[in-house]
Amino acid sequence: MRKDSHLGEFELIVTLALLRLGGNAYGVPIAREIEKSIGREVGVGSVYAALDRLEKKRLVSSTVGEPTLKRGGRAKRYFEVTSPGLRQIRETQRALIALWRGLPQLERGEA
Amino acid sequence: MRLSKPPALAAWLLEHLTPGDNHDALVGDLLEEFQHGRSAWWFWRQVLCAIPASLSHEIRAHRVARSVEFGLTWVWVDFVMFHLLPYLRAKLWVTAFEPHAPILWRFVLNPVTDHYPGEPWSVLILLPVLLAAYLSARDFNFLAFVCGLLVGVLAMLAIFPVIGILGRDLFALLAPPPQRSISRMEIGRGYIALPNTISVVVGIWAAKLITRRPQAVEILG
Repeated sequence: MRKDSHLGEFELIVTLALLRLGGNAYGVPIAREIEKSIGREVGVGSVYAALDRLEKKRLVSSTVGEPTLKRGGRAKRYFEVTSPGLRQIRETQRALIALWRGLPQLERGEA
Repeated sequence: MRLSKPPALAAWLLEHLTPGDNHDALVGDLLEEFQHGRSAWWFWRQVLCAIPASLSHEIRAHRVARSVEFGLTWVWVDFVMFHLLPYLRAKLWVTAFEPHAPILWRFVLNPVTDHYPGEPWSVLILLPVLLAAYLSARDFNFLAFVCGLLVGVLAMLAIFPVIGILGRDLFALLAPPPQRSISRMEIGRGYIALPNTISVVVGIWAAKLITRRPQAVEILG
């Protein structure tokens, strides 16, 4: 198994949020989507740090939008999951499901 | 259209302490959300969360580049602080007190190089400041930073005679008798951290002026 064949927890959460939002997602909507799932506030800075890591690994790609006055002249950066990214999500999913199976403690719903 | 401005200090920290490729996107997102009615408290929380995330990511992502830049600057600072200034001072000190020393040397150059700000402990204090300078300089440019630091050192040399001599005399005047016997060098040490810090801070700002672009909050109007 390659060293980087699975995503870390937060990276997985971010990529899943990207998939949920569709192609063109950017910082704040991604953070909101994550907040809805995990039930606590997420820093937009942390989301961008994770997206930067994922982009360096070529698991997500980004395009820059137009700058607007409301944003202080700063452009939005839209992200989407790439094909290698999707493959890695599947691998992580497979690994997690395999680990999940056959655990009586979890199946019985014990704490 | 009149746009509301986020807390000034938080906006400044956001602008200067969140390096990385996604800096513009992050600043834009937070400003846009603030325009949509998020509270100042939310803005502060986001900025305080973004700073450590961005800094740690930047260090991890550019470990080699940051180390090389840091090392190069350190060599340069070390050369000026530990070698060049002490050398000049030693040269001038000898000639300045010779009977026929030119007035310029006696009253200008000698005081300027009177204290060399090269005490290891004081420079060690500045390591985090230098690191912060690297990480905070947007569109970081090594040449600009070195130029800025040079401006900072010149500014330090310009003000240090005033701080050093006036401060030392004032200290000698105000200090209780036992402390009057404290050596000149020992007193001088007390002033070392200040000019070093000033030189670095002026250097950072000079570098920023060289590579300056409008800040997001300024564009909000």
